[in-house]
Amino acid sequence: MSSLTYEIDTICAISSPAGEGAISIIRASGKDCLHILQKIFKPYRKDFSDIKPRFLYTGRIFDLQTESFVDEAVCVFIKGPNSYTGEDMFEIYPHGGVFNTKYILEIILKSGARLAYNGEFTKRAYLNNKISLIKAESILEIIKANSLKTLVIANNELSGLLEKKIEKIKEDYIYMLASVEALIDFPEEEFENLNADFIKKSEETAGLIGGLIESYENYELNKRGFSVVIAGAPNVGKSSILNRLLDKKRAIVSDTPGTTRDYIEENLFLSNKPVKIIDTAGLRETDNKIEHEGIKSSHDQIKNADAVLYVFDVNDLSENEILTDILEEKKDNLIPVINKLDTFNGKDLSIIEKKLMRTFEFANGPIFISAKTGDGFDFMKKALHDIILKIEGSVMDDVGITTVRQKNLLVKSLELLNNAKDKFKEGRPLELISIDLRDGINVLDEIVGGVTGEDVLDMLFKEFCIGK
Amino acid sequence: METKNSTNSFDVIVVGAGHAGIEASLAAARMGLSAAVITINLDNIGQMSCNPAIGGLAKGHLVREIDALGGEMGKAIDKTGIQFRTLNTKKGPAVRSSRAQADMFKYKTYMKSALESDQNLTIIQSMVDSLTVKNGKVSGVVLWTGEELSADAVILTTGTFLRGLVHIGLFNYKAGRAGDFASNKLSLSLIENGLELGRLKTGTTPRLDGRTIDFSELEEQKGEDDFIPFSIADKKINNEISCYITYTNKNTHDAILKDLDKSPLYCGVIKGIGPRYCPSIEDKVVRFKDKERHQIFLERESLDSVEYYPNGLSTSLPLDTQLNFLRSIKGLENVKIMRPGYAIEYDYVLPTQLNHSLETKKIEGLFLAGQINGTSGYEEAAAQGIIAGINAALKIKGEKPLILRRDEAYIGVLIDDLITLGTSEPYRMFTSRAEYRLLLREDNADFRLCEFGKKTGLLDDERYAIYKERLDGFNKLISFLKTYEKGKYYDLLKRPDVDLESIANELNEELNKFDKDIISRVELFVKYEGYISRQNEEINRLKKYDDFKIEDDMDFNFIPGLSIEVVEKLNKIRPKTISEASRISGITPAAVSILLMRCRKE
Ligand SMILES: Cc1cc2nc3c(=O)[nH]c(=O)nc-3n(C[C@H](O)[C@H](O)[C@H](O)COP(=O)(O)OP(=O)(O)OC[C@H]3O[C@@H](n4cnc5c(N)ncnc54)[C@H](O)[C@@H]3O)c2cc1C
Ligand SMILES: Nc1nc2c(ncn2[C@@H]2O[C@H](COP(=O)(O)OP(=O)(O)OP(=O)(O)O)[C@@H](O)[C@H]2O)c(=O)[nH]1
Ligand SMILES: [Mg+2]
Repeated sequence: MSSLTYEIDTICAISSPAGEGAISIIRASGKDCLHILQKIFKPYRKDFSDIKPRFLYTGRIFDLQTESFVDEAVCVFIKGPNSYTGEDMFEIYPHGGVFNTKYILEIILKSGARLAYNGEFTKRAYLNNKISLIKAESILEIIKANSLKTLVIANNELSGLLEKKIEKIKEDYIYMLASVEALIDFPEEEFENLNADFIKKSEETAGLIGGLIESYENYELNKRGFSVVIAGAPNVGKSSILNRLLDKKRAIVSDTPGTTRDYIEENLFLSNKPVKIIDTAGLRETDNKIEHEGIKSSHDQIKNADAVLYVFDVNDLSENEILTDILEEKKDNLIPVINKLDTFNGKDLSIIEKKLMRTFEFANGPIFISAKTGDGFDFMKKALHDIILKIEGSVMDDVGITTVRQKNLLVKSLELLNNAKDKFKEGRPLELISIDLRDGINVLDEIVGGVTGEDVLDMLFKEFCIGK
Repeated sequence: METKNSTNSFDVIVVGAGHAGIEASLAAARMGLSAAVITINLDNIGQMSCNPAIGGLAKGHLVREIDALGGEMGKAIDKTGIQFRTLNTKKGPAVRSSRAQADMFKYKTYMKSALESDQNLTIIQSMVDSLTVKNGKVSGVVLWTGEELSADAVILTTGTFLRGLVHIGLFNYKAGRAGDFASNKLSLSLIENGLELGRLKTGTTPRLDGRTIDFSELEEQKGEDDFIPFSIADKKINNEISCYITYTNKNTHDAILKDLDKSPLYCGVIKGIGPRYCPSIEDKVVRFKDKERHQIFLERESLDSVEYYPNGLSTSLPLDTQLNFLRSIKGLENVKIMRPGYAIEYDYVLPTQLNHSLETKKIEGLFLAGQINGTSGYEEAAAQGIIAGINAALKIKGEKPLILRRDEAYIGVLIDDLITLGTSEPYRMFTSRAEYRLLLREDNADFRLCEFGKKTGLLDDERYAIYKERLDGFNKLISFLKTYEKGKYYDLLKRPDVDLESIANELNEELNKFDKDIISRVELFVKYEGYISRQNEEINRLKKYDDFKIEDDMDFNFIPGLSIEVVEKLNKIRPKTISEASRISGITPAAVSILLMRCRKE
């Protein structure tokens, strides 16, 4: 980043989503804010010079070029450094049309501001020391959140819970470093249990870091949503189930087996969770080239799925080698679904259930439904939801990392910690172990910020009895 | 340059002849200036106020660095030491440190005659009461007898003497240390000239009558005869004595706790801040209740005396309590105290008011070195002394000051820490303070610094020649290893489990040509090459921030995004470069990036 442009530029952007709305928001930040605002905003019943920061004023937007008023708007000026970015800022709330909002933006640009890059307001907040890098990242994640879970995780990051967790890791790290430094700098002292403590601490800390690294996988999973694949033999009613779930005719349904050739992917919310639902080609041996391709991709989809709804026709529970393989792989995350309940003409469903459970080693009991009437769908959704919750189980703790950057740094830090631990066990020189620990801390620091040599000494004197 | 020499006019005046004052005055005089050293008591030149020892962790490094620059401390201890040991032999070569117990009387005598043998040096017993400053520039000092001496530069090395107050229990008296006058007026003169002072505290142990100690049951610790002398000029040392180890116990701790209400520390009588790394025994007992015993080293102070220094028992409790707890310790059941332990409070000058040359920012020509800058320890004092002496001389000669970087010397770390971080407790050197610890070893102090010593003109030809010879040997051996049998042994040596000794047989003939010392340096160099180049990379990465200069007139108050605390710190310390700013405590990385945007690369 070139330093000079940073200092001079005043940036500006439409902050409300594209499209028509009740009102729009235009935001600006930088040292020319007041000056620009004065040019374009004429408050009602007041001189501009009487405008106070942090108060809302109604007035008109003036276009210097055409010398005409173009809109009526509410406006607020926020004086730095007590603003989001730490610089002078203003916000304008014009009527929410597409054209007028863009036009007002143009006016502001012509008055000396430039268009902000993506995330530049937050970046400035970070550069001006208003928020830590980790907070800046969390704000972007909140904006992108697509489920309650991701929102909660990102918000916990914003509120500092993640930082606290990393601080804790850092503190443990500093404790280990202080132990090593104590052994180095105070060779004549007696330190009891220091070796055992070090190894215990390093293992605990490695566990904590590992936990955070794993939390990323879960966050990612949450972010991309869970994927549920509907699979089964042809003609059992897979596409009908999809359509019922979506509440619209998305897939073609017909009584010809092999109707669905390519998989169909759709998004839906299942009690607050974004779920990707995928309808696949019915599984069977076939000579048809196209169908064969479709079945191959069905297998891929099943492999990558978080959960599988395996569908049977209630009147035809034929055995299936293919299913045995799938079952092997998905185990806990496969739900047997018995469809076309409305056409059942036998006496006792429990016989079917028993037969099914005898034939296959299902981890979950079968759910009986009818895609035609919608019966049993609530149970099916509940079963699905339970599986999702179970998968999420490891994310019970809603504090986790949210970016690859954080993950990569943690991985690096863990590697250094493990180096240090191994060297310590092997009895390699402490001065080398110290380097690994320091590097490990520095890498962690890149996530949050700042450890000084003084921190190490503080810990040393707090924890160890030292004195000549 | 024309040097002055009359009875009351000098190029440089050094106030104090402690460890800092000795190096400062010798440096200035040996660099050809007329120098005067003024001290309160000529019998106490180079007095060891506390522990009768030189060196120790990180301090051994300092001594060797002082030697490589041309200082006296290393030579003095090699000749007057009575027990020599290497600490940390198993924790890695960079943190290996040398320590020697001194015959403290012989040490003083040695130092006094070192001063006397320099023709450029005038030695004066007196007390300096004030500075004379004209137009922001120092011009001399005024003695307590009223005479005025003039000089172009003044170096203050007054140690623990400024308004020194000694505490023994709740009894206290004014003194620079036990048995010496305090310097009561000079502080005022410093304040009047705009310097900000603070107050610190330190303490020492009682001295015991060796005739009343029963050594028979105590663990003995002997010296090492293959110890490498501190000074590159010296060939050998003599181990004359052992020291002994004993421990405190529950009874000791109880005796201390019982009388805590008579401790000036715990009654709030002492206001100065003491060193955390060197707590009094009462402090240790209170803060670490679970610890069942504390280790005590019994160290003899001189071959000509029976006095023993019980290392680990610094205290300011009343005399009878001292005797009580001492007698609960094994070997000390019948001990007699010859001198009581005590604490001392004293003024120091906040070191953030100094430049890296150790010249004060406010008063031109005024240099400060040693404990007056908030440090503690003989070696720390001597290290600053030699730098202040060199820089006062260079200034008078119109040359640029000698400033050692953090990656060049512990001395560089020490001074940079003081100036950019300041200190609120007595500052002691630790190896952990040096971020480039692997580069700053004792074994390569001469390689790192002799050229600086030569360039300033302080290092004598004898030491310089020895250094050159070693450097030559080192380079020869390295290139031999790199080329012999296609570098097979060089690569072999890189492995952690292989040392030169184990391959020595195969290379015997070749290796015999080299000094043992050179061989071990080479071994280390090869083994650590990877790590060393890692540190070098980092140094180069950070070095670029040295090029970002902060304008002298930059107004930190009006930079958006800097917190009030940051602005205050910046205003106080006024860093000259971005890298300096980044080292100031409390300056966040974000604040540094804001500053970076305001700076131009030079
Ligand atoms: C009680 C006590 C406990 C200590 N404990 C420790 C310890 O645990 N660990 C440790 O590392 N160090 C300890 N020290 C510190 C160590 O003694 C000093 O760090 C070191 O001696 C400082 O060297 P210096 O040259 O700065 O000052 P000093 O050695 O104190 O010398 C000061 C010199 O200045 C002279 N002087 C002072 N004022 C004037 C004046 N106005 N005019 C003329 N001459 C003046 C004095 O006569 C003296 O020669 C202790 C010191 C004391 C007194
Ligand atoms: N009565 C009844 N008929 C159903 C039910 N579900 C599906 N059908 C019918 O079964 C036939 C096949 O339905 P699809 O949904 O196309 O089946 P599919 O599993 O997608 O078939 P392929 O795409 O060929 O693999 C259609 O005629 C549906 O109307 C149900 O619950 N009850
Ligand atoms: Mg279908």
